[in-house]
Amino acid sequence: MKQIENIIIVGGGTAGWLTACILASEFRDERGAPSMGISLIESPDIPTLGVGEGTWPSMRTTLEKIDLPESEFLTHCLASFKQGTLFEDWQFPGHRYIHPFTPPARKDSIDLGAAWDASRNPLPFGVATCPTASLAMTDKAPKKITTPEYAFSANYGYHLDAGAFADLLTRHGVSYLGIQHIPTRIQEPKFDEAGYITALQTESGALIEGDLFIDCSGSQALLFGQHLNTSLVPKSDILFNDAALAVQVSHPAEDTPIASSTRSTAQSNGWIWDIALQHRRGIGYVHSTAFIDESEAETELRRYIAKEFGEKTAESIQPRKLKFQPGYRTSFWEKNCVAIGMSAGFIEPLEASALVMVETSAWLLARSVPLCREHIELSAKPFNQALLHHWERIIHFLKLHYVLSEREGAYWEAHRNPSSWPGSLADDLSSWRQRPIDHGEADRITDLFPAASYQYIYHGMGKPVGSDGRNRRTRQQVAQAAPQLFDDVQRAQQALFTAMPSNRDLLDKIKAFGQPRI
Amino acid sequence: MANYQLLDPQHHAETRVLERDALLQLDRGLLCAAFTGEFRAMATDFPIVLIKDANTGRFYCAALLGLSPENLACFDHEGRWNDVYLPWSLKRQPLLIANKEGQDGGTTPMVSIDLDHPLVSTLDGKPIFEVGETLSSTTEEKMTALRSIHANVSTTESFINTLLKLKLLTGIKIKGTSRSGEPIVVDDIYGIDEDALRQLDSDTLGRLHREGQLELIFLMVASLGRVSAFTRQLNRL
Repeated sequence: MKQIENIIIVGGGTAGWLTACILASEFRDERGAPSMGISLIESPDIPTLGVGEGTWPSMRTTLEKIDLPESEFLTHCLASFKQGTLFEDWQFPGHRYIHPFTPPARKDSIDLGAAWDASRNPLPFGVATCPTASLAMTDKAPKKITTPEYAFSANYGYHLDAGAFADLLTRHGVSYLGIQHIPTRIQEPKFDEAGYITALQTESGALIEGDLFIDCSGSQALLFGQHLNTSLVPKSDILFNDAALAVQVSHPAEDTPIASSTRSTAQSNGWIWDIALQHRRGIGYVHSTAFIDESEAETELRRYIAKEFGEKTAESIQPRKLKFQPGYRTSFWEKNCVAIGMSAGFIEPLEASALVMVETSAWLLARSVPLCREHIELSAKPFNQALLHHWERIIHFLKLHYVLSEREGAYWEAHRNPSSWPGSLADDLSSWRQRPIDHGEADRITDLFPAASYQYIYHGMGKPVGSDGRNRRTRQQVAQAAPQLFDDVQRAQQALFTAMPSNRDLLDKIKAFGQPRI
Repeated sequence: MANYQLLDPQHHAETRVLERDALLQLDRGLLCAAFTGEFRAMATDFPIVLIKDANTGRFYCAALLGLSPENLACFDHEGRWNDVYLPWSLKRQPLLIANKEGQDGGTTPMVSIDLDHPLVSTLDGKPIFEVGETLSSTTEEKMTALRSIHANVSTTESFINTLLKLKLLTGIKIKGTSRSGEPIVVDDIYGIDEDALRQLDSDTLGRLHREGQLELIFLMVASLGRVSAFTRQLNRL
């Protein structure tokens, strides 16, 4: 039984290097020396897809576990804190709501998210139930300079520059985690009779041998798509967007406020992302080429830029064009090859799911790598099941944003047509009319998105908390306790708003002083 | 507001400083800065802890003077100065060291005075300068404290860095009850993690010993013994 001793990651960028660092941090002995060979092969001249990106709070845990100091990460990647997503004009033009990472307040068994009643509480759902909404909807930081690195007062992920992130991970991976970096181009994989990859032939003719191969080569999916017989299942019939026009615009001044959440502004045929980093904002119009052509999309983007930065800036931008095929594969681990990142699939970045899928896949893989080839199937099957389920839930959750919209136009009407809905969505919507969104539902427990996220979108878009009208004991308990709890939330919001510095101030201080480790 | 001026006999001929009992008038903070050179003298009177600077998040050493502003260990129940060690950072007041920028771009440390400090007076207390523009004995004592601080700043910083690098710090929370029954909590302070200390290997311990830092660590540990005296004192007048 040949043991698995060498893992080869194909492709750099954030997916490749994050995966490599995660695997390398897991496979270490007590003294910190590597217990598995981890190598990363990347072509020296493929540029990284460097658009402004958002992460989930899971990235804090990931970076901490790979021993990357947060202050170094924030400063090197010119990153900022992402406390959630602010959705503007989604329900109808002029409307806005927040989807923060902090769940609605709970006390004992009372979930304020199930107690919200629009007829009694004039505040919109997110503002009424989330104690940190005052931070997420402004430019206030989720913590102070005295808070230890990776700790928080309000839960957060990051806004970061993907190119700078990949650079930092490369440096950290090679110098601290002992990853072998092989800058070369792959010609083709070599297989044995059983269909397992034995080695990769480089363009110079050299052979790089390995036991387990991770395909992080992006949408070209060098190994998983081109050589293994797997296919990408398109989901453009559910999520119509298949293109983006992206720009980067510098902040007008060095002390321009940095927004705490990703802004997502609905447009005629898609939506515009707006991600604030320390030095600039990454802005892009995600749209469907089936509904709008490129020049119209560009006009809409310029209109947004004009509103935010003025006419002159709007005229000067040169948007980058990106095309993508929304969809994902039916399996992600075949024999001794695993697909992570865009090689596994791609969905529009409406809820910043790309990096969390890389993290989730890589940590699961790190826990699942078997001792030898003979046991691969035991790991691959549950791996595939778990990830397939996650992809399906992402589609489901993203579609929810669209079906609840009241916007006019062919694009939005098409989204509301149930023939474009994934199977379970109609059932969920019916069920949520009858009773509140429940943390205990089977789907919620295994979902990548917690019940709180569904609450923020569903009620943020104006839907009431479900009820069948029955008088239950829990309903009475809630009615009694809720008013005080809602007051507590408002008080907490004000206290946090007063106490927290702005993102800009905090990031400047972190650059100057670093953060305490405890 | 502070009003700093370089100390000089012409401008400050009439300036006086109130005596140490007048420290009562100071802002009754629970903590004052502490430096490694005075740990030995201080440890039997005050718990020595680390706290974070609110503006920078950086740690500095501090003496815990008491558990509530009405109950500072340096004052007896009649409000007079208890015969405890007077930390340099209190002794030096209202004098301080300011860095004067030279023409070459470098800085020179110069003794300065904060004229808005509550200890500064033109009527009461001891004069700063005696006849003939010499320093009074009070002022000499304060200058000695300033010099001691100046000489200990970098050893204190490097001691703190060592504690951080070796992960020897842990949060401390002190709980007590005031005489009126109100709960008193002092947290946001840090001390030595004795479990982590016990796990250090002999090479590291040897290095700490040779660099004089092992003694400082144990002085900090021992100084926490004062905490129970403090909590008892909460219940006295």
